[in-house]
Amino acid sequence: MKKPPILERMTDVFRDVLDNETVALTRETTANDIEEWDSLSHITIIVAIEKEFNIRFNLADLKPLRNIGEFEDLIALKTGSQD
Amino acid sequence: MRKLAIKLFLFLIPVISLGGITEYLLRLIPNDYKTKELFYEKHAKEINILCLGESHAFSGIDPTYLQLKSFNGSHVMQSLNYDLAVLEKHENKLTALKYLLVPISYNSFTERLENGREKWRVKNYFLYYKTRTILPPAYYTEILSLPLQINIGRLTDYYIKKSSPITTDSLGHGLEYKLENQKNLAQTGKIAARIQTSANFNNWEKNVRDLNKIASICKKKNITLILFTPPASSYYAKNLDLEQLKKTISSAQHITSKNKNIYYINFLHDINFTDNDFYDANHLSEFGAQKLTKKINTFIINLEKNIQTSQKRCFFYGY
Amino acid sequence: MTFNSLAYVLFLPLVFLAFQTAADRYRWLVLLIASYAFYGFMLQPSLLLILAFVTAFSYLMGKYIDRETNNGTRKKQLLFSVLVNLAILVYCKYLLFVVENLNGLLDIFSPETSIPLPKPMVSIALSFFVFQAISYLADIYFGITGSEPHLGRFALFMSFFPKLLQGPIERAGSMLPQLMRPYRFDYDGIRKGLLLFGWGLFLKTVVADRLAFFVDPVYNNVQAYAGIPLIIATYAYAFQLYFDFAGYTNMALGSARLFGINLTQNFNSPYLATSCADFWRRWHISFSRWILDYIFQPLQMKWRNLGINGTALALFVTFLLSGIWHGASWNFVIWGVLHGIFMAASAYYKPYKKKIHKKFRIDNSRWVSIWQVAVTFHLVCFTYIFFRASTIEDSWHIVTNLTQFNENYKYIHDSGIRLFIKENIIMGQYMLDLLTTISVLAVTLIVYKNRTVSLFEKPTWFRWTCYYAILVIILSLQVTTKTNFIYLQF
Repeated sequence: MKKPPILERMTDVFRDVLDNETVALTRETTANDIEEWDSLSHITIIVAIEKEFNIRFNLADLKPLRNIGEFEDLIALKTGSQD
Repeated sequence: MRKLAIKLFLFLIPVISLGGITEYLLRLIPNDYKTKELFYEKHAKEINILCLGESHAFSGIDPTYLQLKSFNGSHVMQSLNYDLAVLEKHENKLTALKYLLVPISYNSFTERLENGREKWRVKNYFLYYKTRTILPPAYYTEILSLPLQINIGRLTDYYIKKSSPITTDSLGHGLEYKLENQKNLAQTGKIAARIQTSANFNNWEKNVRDLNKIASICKKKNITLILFTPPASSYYAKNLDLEQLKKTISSAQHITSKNKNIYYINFLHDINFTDNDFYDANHLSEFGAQKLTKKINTFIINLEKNIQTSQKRCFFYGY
Repeated sequence: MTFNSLAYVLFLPLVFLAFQTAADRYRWLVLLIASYAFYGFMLQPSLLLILAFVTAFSYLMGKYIDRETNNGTRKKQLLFSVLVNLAILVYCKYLLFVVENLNGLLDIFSPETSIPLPKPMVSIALSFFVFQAISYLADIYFGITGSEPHLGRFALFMSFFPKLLQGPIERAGSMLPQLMRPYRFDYDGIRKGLLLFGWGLFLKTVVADRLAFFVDPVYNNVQAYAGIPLIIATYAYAFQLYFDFAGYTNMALGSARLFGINLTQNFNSPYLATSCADFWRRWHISFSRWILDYIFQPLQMKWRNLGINGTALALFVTFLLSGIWHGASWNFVIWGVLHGIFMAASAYYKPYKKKIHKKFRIDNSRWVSIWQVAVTFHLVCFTYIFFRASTIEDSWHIVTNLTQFNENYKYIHDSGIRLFIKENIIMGQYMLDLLTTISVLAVTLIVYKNRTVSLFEKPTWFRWTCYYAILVIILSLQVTTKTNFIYLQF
């Protein structure tokens, strides 16, 4: 079964963690654009993403990320190495 | 850049010119330091007995009661290093000097003017005695040494109210210690003792070194150095920290023992001084000054006549 | 020299002149020499050596980490360089504290043995530049910034005198590019810089130092007071600390502006914070960002599988360490721990807070905001008791005597404050000064709600009057008993 594209799965995770069905992610979205995205929800999002995609991040991977697009690329990289 | 420089210049012109005028006016105001320096210039060659030191000497030694030609060169808060500086400045002119009086008080070894509460006074030595020491830059000027409000007060007092800030008589004795203005002895005793008790002895060595330098100048010029611990009321004496007091007295005794022409007289517990002899707990009134100076005068006369038969050079009154 | 000294007022224009007249490719050298001369004024040659060593060491390690491709090696290199830096900091600043406490423990087991006490070392600026070095190395490791190839510019980045003594702690990404730009003479920037400097000097010498008169007599003799004087002194300290540090920061930012460098803002109306977390986003911003990025986030990441407990624990540890950074004393540790507890608690409370506010429809209520500001301010003031008190006994005395209202009225009357004022030369004018200062400050704050931008749009006579007013106020109302900046000790 082909899984939905990464961005869509990410959006589901965000909506679930932030408890907000209206969250819409584009590649340009940053933390500033989403009101509930603070340091607390941030880590919850990370953990949830890790669970959803069955990957594990290092802080070194996450620090340089500047927007959702780069985040998506990172996830693709991490999941791609498992295929 | 040009614009900035011009604007800054224009902005600063009124500030600097006002500052310059104020500085000039402040320096013109007569003060004790100028007065005493003038005395040195005119009469140094005649002085037989010179008294240096701080406010205890300033209030306590009245040269009119000394038979030889005398001058009181002390100033409020003048610490040993500044006694030395004044002496060094004038030593070549003090050709007739036979006796040098230096008070050794409870705080003489613990305090130094530049580290103390009134360190702004160092400017007076630079500006009026013209001693050459390295000071923090502000203290080379009148205007930067004191808060602006105080300086404005000084200017209005002298130029507008026409009151003179001179507090010394023609022979250098302090005039502000009149019995009629006596302060509460018990209160001032406690406060003074507390303020003058030092938490550390960081200045001790330097002060001893400076006193030794004074002693060697005296030795070189055959001047008799008389160290004295001034009398004080019991309200002050009983509140002193015994360790600091003991250390002070023993340092004085130690220096005295090193040279035959040094004497040390301790008047701290001398019962001849009663309440009326004091302006406040540790400063003598004009009557106390008379008493003390007469005692020292007698001592000096005995020295002159070579009446001292014992080898003793340390004297304790009232112990 | 500190910013509020005559020496600095003479130093700064000289450096500015040298800077302006030098060729552009040597301007960094002028500033570097000036910075080391500035630090040298402290008359502690060992500090200069330590700065030079930390600079050279971090420069080299930065190059290695940047070049290294093996992730395992990179990590080891980072750990090594961070540990060396921390070791230097601990040795210089905390050795005495550690040994004293070890001796305290030893006393229980074998009273005769004790470790000889090391000589306490002056460590001004050390905490700040070591942290900046660590931030540089970590940013290279994380790939946020590249290593700086030019040793001279890197040395300037580390030692730049406006920020050397008390921060702000700068990030490589924000300061290094500025050092590489060719200098363009900016008249407006210089004006702003001078004004900022003057404003900072006003805050420090006229306001903060004056507030000290209410704080010091009480906090330096705590056992003699109970009740209201303790409360007043603590409130006064909250403002003294802010105006002191904000004053310094303004002077730092203003000085840097003269050379075309923009340092980071350290404050953003901290006492208007609506929560402790918000407070730390507004107070000593460069420092709290540092502990957020380099302590909290790694810890939070490490403990992410513990859920909210992991975050709370990470917050607690971060603020505990922050307390230790501030000073080698248990008082600072307690201060840090208190903030850690408040932050951890707010992490637990936050999800509920949103729900509760929504339920009672008060999420945008003005009254709630005011309440939150008041509560936060008081929590912070409470922690200041430990921050300011000299010993644990003193802090405990204050905490247990804050509300002793019955006996204390006599303390107000024969209070040490009165005696202190009497012994002070400036005493006669004291009340008048205080009122003048407060009114000037109030007027200026109201007028400048929109920052300095609006001032420069006003006509020249208005501007110049303000400049002269600030100058006259500083000259006439400054507190002249020798005062140091509070954060200098950290």
